[in-house]
Amino acid sequence: MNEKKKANPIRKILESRLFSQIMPVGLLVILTVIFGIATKGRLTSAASLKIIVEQALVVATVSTGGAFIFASGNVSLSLGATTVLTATLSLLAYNKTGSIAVMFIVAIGLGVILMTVSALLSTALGVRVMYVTIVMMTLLSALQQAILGGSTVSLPYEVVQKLVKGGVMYIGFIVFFIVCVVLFHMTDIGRSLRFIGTNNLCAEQTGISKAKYLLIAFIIAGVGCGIGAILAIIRGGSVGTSTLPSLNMDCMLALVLGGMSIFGGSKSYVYSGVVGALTVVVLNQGLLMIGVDATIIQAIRGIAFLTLVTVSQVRPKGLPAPEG
Amino acid sequence: MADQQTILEVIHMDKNFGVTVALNDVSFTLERGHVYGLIGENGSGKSTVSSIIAGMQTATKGDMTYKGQPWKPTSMLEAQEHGIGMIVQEAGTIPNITVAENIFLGHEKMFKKGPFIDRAKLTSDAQKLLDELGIKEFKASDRTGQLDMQMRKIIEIAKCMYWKPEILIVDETSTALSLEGRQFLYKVMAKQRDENKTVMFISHDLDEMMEHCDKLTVLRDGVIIGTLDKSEYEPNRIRKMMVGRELKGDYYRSDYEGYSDEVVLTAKDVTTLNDLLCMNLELHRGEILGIGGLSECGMHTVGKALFGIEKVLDGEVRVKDGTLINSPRTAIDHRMAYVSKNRDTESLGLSATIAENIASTGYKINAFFGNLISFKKEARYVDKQIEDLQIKCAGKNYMVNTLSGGNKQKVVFGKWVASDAEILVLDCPTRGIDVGVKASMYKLFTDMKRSGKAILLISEELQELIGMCDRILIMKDGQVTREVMRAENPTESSLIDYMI
Repeated sequence: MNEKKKANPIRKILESRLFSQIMPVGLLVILTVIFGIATKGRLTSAASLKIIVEQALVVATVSTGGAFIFASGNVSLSLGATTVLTATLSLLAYNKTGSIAVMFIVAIGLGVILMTVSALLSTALGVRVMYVTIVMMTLLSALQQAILGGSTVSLPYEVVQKLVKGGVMYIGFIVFFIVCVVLFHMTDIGRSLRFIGTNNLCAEQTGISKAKYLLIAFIIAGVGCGIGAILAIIRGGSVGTSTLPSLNMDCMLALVLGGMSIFGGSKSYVYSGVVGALTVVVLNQGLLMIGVDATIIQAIRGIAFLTLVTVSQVRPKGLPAPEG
Repeated sequence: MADQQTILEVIHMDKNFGVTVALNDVSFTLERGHVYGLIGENGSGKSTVSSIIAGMQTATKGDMTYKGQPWKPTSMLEAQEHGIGMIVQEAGTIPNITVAENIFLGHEKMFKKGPFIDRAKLTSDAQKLLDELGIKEFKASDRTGQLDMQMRKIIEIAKCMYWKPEILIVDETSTALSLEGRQFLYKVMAKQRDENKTVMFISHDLDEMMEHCDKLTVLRDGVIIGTLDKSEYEPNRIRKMMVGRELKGDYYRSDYEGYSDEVVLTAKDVTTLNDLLCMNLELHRGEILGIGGLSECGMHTVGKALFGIEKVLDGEVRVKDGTLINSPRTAIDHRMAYVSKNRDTESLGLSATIAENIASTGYKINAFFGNLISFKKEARYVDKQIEDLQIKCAGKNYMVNTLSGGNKQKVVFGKWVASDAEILVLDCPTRGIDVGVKASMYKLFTDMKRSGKAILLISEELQELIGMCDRILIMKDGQVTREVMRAENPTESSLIDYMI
C-alpha cells in the first residue's frame, strides 16, 4: 500500500472512525458529570442511576431495532406508535388468557406484523418509508384510541413484581441487544443495510436487494417494538393513550446522540441506540432535577436533535474528492 | 511588479487532505495568450491545484497572485466574477431546471424585477449566448434533464463562457464529449488564446494535450516534475515523467491467442424499452469481446441488460448452464460482474470506506458458520486487492471519496476481482484514468483472459477496442450490425466506416 506521509496527528484522531465511536460515550459521561454536579449528586446516586437505566431500557430496545432501518438511509416514524399499540393489545391478550407467554408472543408477533406491513407497503407501492410510516403512525395511534377510549389497561401488580424480580427487563434487553450486535456487525444483514444507506443504486448493482434487506430491517425493528412493549408494560404496569407519547422522537434523538448518522450508511452503529437512550434520559432527568420546565425540555431536545442532524450533514474536512 | 504578460502565479503551494498530501510546494506561472496543459496520473494533484485557483477549495500553504494582486478566492462564484472560470470534471448541471436557469445559476439576482425574477429575459439572454457560441443542438428554454450528458457538458462550457473568463480551466471535460463536442471545446479554447486570454487544460488524452497545448506541465504525487514546450513533446518522454518509469506506447495486447469455443453468456433477441432491439451476442470463455458504436447506438444499455439491471422486454440473456439472467443477484450468483460507466453514482459507495466497498461483493465468500462474517477472512479479501491493484490510499478505512479517479476505479475493479467473477461486463472501464493505471488495467484484462475469464468490453475508445479485443461488435440503432475479428487487423477508420 502506498501510504503518503505528513500526517497531522490531531486531525488524524479527529477524523478517525474510533473517535466518532467514542465521542457519544464521552458526551454521556460529560452530561452525567455536569448534571451530577448541578444536582449536588442527586442524579448520580445509586437509586437515581437505577431509574435512569430502567427508563432508558425501552428507548434503547426500540431504537436498537430501529437502527437497522435508519442504517439503510430510511426514517421510520411509526416505531413509537407500533410499540404502544403492541403493548395495548398484548396486555389485552394477557387479560383475556391470563398467560404471560401469550402476552409475550402477541407482543413480538404483533410488532413484527405491524412493521412488516409498513415495509411491504413501502416496497410494493414504491413509496418512501418515511411517508408510509407517517400514515402508519397516525393509523396505529387512532386504532389504540379506538380500542382504549379514555381508559387504561393494566397488568396485575403481582405479575409485574414477578417479572421485575425475574429480571425480565434486563434479560429481554440484553438478549435482543446481543442478537442485534451480531446481526448488524457480523453478518451480511447489517453490512448490506449500511451499503444501501451509502448508495442504493450501487448496492442494487452489487446484488444487494433493497426490498429484501429493508423487510429484514423492519422485522428486526418489529421484534424491538415487541420487546420494547413488554418492557414498557413491566415498567409502567399499565398502558393508556398517553403512554410513551414521544417514544419515536426519543428513539431518533437517541440514535443521533449515540453517534449514528440520520442518513444511515457507513457510519451506523447498532449500539448508538443504547448510548443515546442513556444520554436522552440523563438529559431529561438532569434538566428536570435542576428545575427546568417540561416544555423547555422538549424544546431543548428538539434543538439538540436539529443541531446533531445539521452537524452530521457537514462534510469532514479531510473528505473532499481530490480528483486528479 | 508582475510582468504584464503574467496573469497568474502559484507560489509554493501545499494542499493536504487529512493525512494525504495532494500538493507539495507547487509553483508555476500562467501567461496570457497560451493554452497550458496540466498532465499527470490520477491523484497527481491536477484537479486540486486548478480547483484552488478557481475558488473551490483553499490551499493549506502558499500564495497566488492574479493580475499582479494577491489571489485567495473563497468561492467559485467569486472567481467567476473576477474572470476565472472552471468547467469541472463531475456533472455540474441540475437536471430539473432549464438550460437558461443552469447557465445563470447563482446569478439570478441579475434578472430581478421587483420581488420576482424576469424569466423571459433570463431565457433570452441565455439563448443569445448559445447563439453566439454557435450551439444549435438545444434551446435555452429546454429542460436540462432531457439532454444527454454531452449536451449538459456543453451547457457548462456555455455557462463558463458567459463571464468571458480571462483564465478558462477545463478539467477532464473532453472525456464526456464525443468528437463533435470535443471540436466545439477546442474551438472555444483556441478563441480564448486568440483573444490573448489563458486556458488551463487538464486531460488524460495525451494526443489531445500535445495537439492543443502550447506548454505541458507534468505533475506526479503533488509535485511538479517539469514543464515542456511544444517543441519538446515526445509521448514516451511525457509518459515517463508522469509515471516515473519507462512506459512504452504499446501497452495493448500484441498476441492473437484466440479464445475457447465454449459459450459462457448468450444474449438472444434482446429488446429493452429504450435502446436495444433484437440484439444478439455470444461471449466465449477466454475472450475479450468489444462493443463499439456511435453515441445513441445502445451499447451502454447492453451491459445493463446482460447483468439484469435493465429490464429485458423480449428475448433473453442466459449463462452457460442455461440460467436466465434477470437480476443483478442472479448474475452475481453465476459469477458475473458489472462495472458501470457511471463510476461515482453506480459503482461505488463514495461515503463508505475502501474496505467496505471491496468487501461488498464478499459477504458470502467471507462467511463462516452460516452467515457470520469472518473479520480475518474479510481483511485478507480487502488487503489482497489493495496490494495487487496498488490502490494508492492512506489506509483501507479511508472513505473512497478521498481517492483520485483512477484509484476509485481500482476499488471498483477490486471488488469484482476479489469475487472471482468469471464473466466481466465492463462499460468504459478506463474512462478518465491515466496511462499508468490504464496500462495496469490492460495487463489485468489480458491476465484474466488467459486464465479463462470472459470479458465484455464496451468502449468509446476505438484504439482500446482494436488493441484489446478478440472480436469487436459494432452496434447501430440498438442492434449488432457488424462483427470484426482481431485477425482482420481493423483500423480506426475502418471501424468508423462500419459505425456510420
